[in-house]
Amino acid sequence: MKITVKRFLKEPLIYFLLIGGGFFIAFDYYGPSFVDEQQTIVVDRTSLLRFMQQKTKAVDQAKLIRSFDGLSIDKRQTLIDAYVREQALYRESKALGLDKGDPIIKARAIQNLEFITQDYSEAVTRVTDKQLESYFAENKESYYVEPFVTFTHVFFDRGSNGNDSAKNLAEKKLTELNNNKVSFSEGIGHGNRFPYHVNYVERTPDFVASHFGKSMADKVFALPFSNTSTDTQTWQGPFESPYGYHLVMLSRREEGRTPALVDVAGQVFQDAQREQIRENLEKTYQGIIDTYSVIIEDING
Amino acid sequence: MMNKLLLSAVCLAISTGYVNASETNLYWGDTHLHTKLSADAFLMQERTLGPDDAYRYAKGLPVVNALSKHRIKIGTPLDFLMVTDHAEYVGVVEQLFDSKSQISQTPFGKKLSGLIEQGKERAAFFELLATVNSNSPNKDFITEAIRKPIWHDIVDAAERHNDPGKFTSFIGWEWSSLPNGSNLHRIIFMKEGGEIGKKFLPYSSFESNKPEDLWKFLDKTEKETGASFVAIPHNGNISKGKMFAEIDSEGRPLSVQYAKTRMRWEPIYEVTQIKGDSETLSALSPNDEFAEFETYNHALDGKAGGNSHGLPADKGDYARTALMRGLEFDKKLGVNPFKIGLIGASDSHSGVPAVEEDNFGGKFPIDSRPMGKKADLTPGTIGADMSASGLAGVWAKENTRESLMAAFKRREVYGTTGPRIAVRMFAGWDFNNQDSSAKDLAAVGYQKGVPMGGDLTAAPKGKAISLLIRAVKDPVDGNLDRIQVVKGWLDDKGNSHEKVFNVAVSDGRKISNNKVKAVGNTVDIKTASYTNSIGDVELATTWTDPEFDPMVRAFYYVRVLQIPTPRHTLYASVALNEAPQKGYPTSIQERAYSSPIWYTPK
Repeated sequence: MKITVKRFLKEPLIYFLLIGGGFFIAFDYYGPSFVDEQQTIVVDRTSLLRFMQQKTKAVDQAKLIRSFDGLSIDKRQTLIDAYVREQALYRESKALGLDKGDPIIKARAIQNLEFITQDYSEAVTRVTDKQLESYFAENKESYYVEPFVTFTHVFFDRGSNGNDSAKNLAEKKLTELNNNKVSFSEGIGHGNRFPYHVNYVERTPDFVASHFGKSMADKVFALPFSNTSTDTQTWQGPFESPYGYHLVMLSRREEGRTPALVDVAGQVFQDAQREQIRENLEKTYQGIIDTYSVIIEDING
Repeated sequence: MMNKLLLSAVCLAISTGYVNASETNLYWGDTHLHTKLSADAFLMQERTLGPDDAYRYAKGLPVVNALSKHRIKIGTPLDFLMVTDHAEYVGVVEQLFDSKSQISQTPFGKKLSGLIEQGKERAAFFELLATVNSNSPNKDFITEAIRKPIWHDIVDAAERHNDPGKFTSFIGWEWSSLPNGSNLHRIIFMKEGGEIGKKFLPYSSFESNKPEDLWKFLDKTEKETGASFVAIPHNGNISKGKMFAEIDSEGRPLSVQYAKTRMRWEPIYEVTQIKGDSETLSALSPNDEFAEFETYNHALDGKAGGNSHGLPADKGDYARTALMRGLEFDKKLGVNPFKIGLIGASDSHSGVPAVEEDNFGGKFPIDSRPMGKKADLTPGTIGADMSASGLAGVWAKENTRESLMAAFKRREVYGTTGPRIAVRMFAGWDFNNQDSSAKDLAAVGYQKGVPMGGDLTAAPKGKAISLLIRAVKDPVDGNLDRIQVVKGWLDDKGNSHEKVFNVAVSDGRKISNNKVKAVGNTVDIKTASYTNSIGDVELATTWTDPEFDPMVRAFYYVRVLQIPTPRHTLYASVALNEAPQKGYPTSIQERAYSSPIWYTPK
């Protein structure tokens, strides 16, 4: 489908612009023999689909195609008319030089270039093993893992039992729990209700201290314990907290450490990649700027 | 043999039920946080902390204060966070401050960046705000090309920090509708991840400032993208009566359709945040001696307000009156449009969810500093007008997007003014006094009743509603003063009523005729300190409604009060070695509000 310049001349605004704003300049520039070529708007399926997507902001490609193919003849003609109108006005304003020096258009063009640059810099990102290692080496402290413990406890309330009696009950219970080999999960059946949790899983010193006080937290983190031997998985205590007395069974304790790269590789990879994209982007911009020679003339008025 | 099999099947069923029942854990988070990407935050000096920093702070890592540049760290890390920047002009102001950016080349952009260069940043803010208030946004600032990359950055940051089981981030934003200065903002969040999050752009009030249109967008976008949304109304105290109005945006009386649609999207409500508390006022609840907490009534357009009693007390602004109105509509329409659960959130514009009273990050970075309590902020307010509040507590099976979202939808959530007070509440017909001292109270609660946010109906003959309640202090904050039950009900003429019951109190005090002696106050104004020598670590009770009427609609929610502790302004005065700031309390009783449980007669 081809539409010639004649049809556009029916559009009053164009007519006005052509007369008022450089009709002759434009024609002189393109020359009469170019008129047909330059003044032709080709309407095809791809351009209409793109136009429709831009208007409806549809994201789903398949859905877009379905609704395009489902358009009635009238609706399709309306779409074609709108597309032709946009194209014609856009080209005409460009031909008239109306895009030159306009800040919005300039900004938009720069932004489009930035989008392309960004896509490009993401596409060329390749974090090699070596780069991963050196990034990790430089940023080790960001990946520090705090020490943590997993434990359960049996609680004796100072408030309801009285201090001495709570302590006595705890001492007696300690023997009973260990003699009967009461397990980690069976502890819940003993003692009083504690304000907070029964089980503490992978909790840091600060967290444990906030629930049991610093003094007891320090003791729990310092208990003789081995992750590999079941011998040390016994009930220990009693330990005193601001609320009463506790018998504690540890099931895991890890020292604070900087992890090995292999343990946090996924996270490090993401961080290194982001860093690289940023660097690539900067490099690309600098590369573009470098293709220009800049002459700074006397700028001090 | 058959019997034995049957028996073990029954045992298994019981034990599974038992284990599952007590399995909800308490997770804390903030559903309302702004970073430098929000226009107002950036203009008010939050120019460095983006979504990544916000998540890092929430997780317990130190970050750098946007203004004072000192190291700041949360006292107790959060379990989840939503970064919810204003959709309107998101990311735009940061670009205005860069005279080379595209936006600064546009005519309005040039004007604003000019003002900024002359140091007239507040003027620029108000000029920008004026285009928001008058709903005539500058077209060059809101093109898809501007908005898309910023939104994708927000989505990507959420994706980077989501760590199922350990820390949950939600993709979300704030729709900032302000018709005639009525704050009708909504937080919108979704449970899905980035792939779906990038299929749309956040709905802004530039598209429409009517909640009905927002709900239409949510419905359409759910269908088109597979997202699932929840919208949370901003606290209503500065909505000029419109948040829970009796008419819709077109001025028509609320309809059945309106009520159903609103309840589909808005199951919960932000009852407390930095811009004050929206539970109730003394003028609305004259018999409630603890009403009028951290009142803030300065309208955002600066037209009403401007002094400490700017806006009139309006039933459409506050949670308790909204719940009561909800009962009235329920009777009229057969649907309750205001069946809302209650949460707290910060609405901080400092880039960090910092609402601990002694570690308050301010509304803006300006008032995070001691001298900032006297500094001008939004029209007619200074730093001291802000409240170091609030947080959302969520009872969920696990710390994941899926599980937390489900809890929000069933309203098994509650709000506090900052401290992590643990609150359980169940309602049923068969709770007895022993239940409140059960070692696993939650197991009993789930077995014999419904948790907060739920419903009861058709009272068994001769039975009254009883509530099983337990509250435990924040491990690192003040002890508890009391548990109260707030009841609202509808009489046979269709008028609603309210009453506050004292149901459990600390220090062995007696409740006589619903009256209790005050808990006392240990706050030392010279040192901004207090002691836990008064109050209790834990309060628990079974309370049966002495005035229960099986024929009337009612709701019940729990309010837990802490003992008095220093207000953030006192910490500032002591740091400045000055007398306490005049006109502001030195100590406050922080509190928790449970979501209600509703009773509807058969």
